[in-house]
Amino acid sequence: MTIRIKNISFSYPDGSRALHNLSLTIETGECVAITGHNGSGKTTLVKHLNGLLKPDNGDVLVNDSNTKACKTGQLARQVALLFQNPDDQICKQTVRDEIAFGPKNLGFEKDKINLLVEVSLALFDLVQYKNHNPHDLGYSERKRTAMASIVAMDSPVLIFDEPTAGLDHLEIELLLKVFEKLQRENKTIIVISHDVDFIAENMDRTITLANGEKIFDGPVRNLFQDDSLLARCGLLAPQMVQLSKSCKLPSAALSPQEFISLVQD
Amino acid sequence: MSFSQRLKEDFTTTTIVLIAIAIVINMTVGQVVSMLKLPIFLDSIGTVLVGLLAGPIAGGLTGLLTNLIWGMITSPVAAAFSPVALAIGVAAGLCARYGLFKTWWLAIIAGVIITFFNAVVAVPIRLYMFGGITGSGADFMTSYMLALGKDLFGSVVVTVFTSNLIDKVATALIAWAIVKALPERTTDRMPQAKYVVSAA
Amino acid sequence: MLFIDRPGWLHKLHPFTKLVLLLLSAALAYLTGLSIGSLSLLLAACLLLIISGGIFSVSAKMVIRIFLPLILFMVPIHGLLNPANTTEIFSFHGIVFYREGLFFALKTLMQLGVVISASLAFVFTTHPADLITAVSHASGSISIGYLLGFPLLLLESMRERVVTIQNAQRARGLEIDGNIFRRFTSLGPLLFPLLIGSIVGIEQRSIALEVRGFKIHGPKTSLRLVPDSLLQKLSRRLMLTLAVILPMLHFFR
Repeated sequence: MTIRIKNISFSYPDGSRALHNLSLTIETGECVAITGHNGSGKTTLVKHLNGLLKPDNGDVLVNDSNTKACKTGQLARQVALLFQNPDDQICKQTVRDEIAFGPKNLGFEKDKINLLVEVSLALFDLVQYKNHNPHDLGYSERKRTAMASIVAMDSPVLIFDEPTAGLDHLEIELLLKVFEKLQRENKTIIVISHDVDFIAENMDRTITLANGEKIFDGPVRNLFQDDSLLARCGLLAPQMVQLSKSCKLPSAALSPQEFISLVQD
Repeated sequence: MSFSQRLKEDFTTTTIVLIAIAIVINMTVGQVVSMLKLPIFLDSIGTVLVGLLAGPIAGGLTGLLTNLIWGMITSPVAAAFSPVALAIGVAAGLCARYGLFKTWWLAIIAGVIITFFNAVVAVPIRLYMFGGITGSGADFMTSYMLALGKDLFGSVVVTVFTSNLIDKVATALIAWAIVKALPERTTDRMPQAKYVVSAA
Repeated sequence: MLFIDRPGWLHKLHPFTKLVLLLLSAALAYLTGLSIGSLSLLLAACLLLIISGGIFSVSAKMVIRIFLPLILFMVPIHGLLNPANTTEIFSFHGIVFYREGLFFALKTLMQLGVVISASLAFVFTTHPADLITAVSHASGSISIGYLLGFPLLLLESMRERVVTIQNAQRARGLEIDGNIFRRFTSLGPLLFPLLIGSIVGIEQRSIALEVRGFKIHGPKTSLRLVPDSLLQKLSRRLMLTLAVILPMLHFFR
């Protein structure tokens, strides 16, 4: 399941330019972060991957088929996309039905739906809430329900828009465990995030956008060590990187563990 | 309790915010309906919801203000029909108070009753202000009835009733489903929701 | 919003003055049994109002938009099918137009013309915020101002939310086309997040209002000033009296 984006440009109907001559390739099983300042085009970019938006110029190829020829309903089998706010999607009266919504739309068999729902409930620690009304639950449970509903679609590519927003560290650890499991299943994970600490610690490759253009694509470390690049993206270096710099360490640490081992050296 | 005191009691800050939100809901559902190219309007769903959650007066006020604001920002013709929107809200609130929103099939009956209230107010406005014609597709129905030999009043009654029946029944059903799906902590704060949810 | 920011004398009038003028012209057009001749005079007066107020071109566009479909339906339906039709005026390939129906259509269109042009003279020259301020001031209640103003503020973000919800559900495989039954079943997933989400959020909003002193009674200060004058107050009284008395004179004559 390779995603190829070839020289796409996109402007909104009001004329504002959102993406400009952007190209990239994401291979099967990669774990990629997309970052950039507010309004840099991150969400616009991922909306192209499942056909919610079609480029004005250029092509988006998902598994060698052009999104211009596909409906979002069909592309959802290949690419599942989770939006930021869980309340923009919750439409069923139990957590279980909410998670089953996607798989049902994709026309899976009943047994497969049940299995996928049970697995997702367990993955996101929602089993005890499965018969609750999502609106009776707190924000964290609703967010996890929304994430579970995307994972249950069993699509080979999963995109999460700001998954860590509003979650505490235990819930973020839960999310990371889910990512690990998805990676073992060779699924592609794309995460849009402002959370530089989260990216530094957990992602391999990062794509950085500024004003609708790709200005960086490579290992996370290269981005966070380059101050001028960070300034151009409007990003702040992760705390561990800043700390390593103020301690004048030979290289920048991306995680607390790395920092400790560098200090011990 | 005097009427004005009752008003103050009924109109908590929550009710006022509910009405304001419902007005915006009335103005935006049209977008969803046209996205799906459905042959209904649902433009009184917010009004009916307020009727169910906060009673007939609040419901009526929601309808009235929706059409007055529409009149200010889109076309003055909408404002001419504001008494109709008011009647819909009052009717929905009364139906809820008399237990007609307890089950889905009762909600269908409530939808028919709302259609009736709608017609009682809409027919005179259409007839005396617009001469029975409003320049929309429903006018084909009126002309068909006239061609069959009905008088103008009868033709307008039939047109108003049939062109609203499906819409108002769908509106009542959706409003019922929404109130049922609301979490308890929300319905607890709504002055009239108990008439709808207590059956559950 | 229909308001046109192009200061003319109508713009300077108090919103209530223009509303009472609208009321008076509606009462004259519908309740005083005016003949076609007097209606044309009234219509001419409205036209004069619009031209002198500097809103002729926008009003003309709006009038065409509203009246074109009305005329297209009104003239043939009444001309051909009005139950009162007896006197033939002309026939065209066997289709007969009658005097009574055409006369009725003309009169209705003229009455509507009066009311709609007077409404346009109001909506094109009155900023909604001025109306809201005037209403809040007159009623001594901030709630009514909130009820009129808040929907206008929220409309755009709610419209964006409709699009976001649609995107979120399509991304989960929801089809928004297909046969009518299918499209009806897609209504729930699109409407429920919008409606339930906004209603659940009401609690937060009302708390936010209450902590900012929304329900405190007593005079409130407003940043906006809507100028009024004694002349306008008096003319409002006069117009209101006329709007009540003239129809009564007609009915009891």
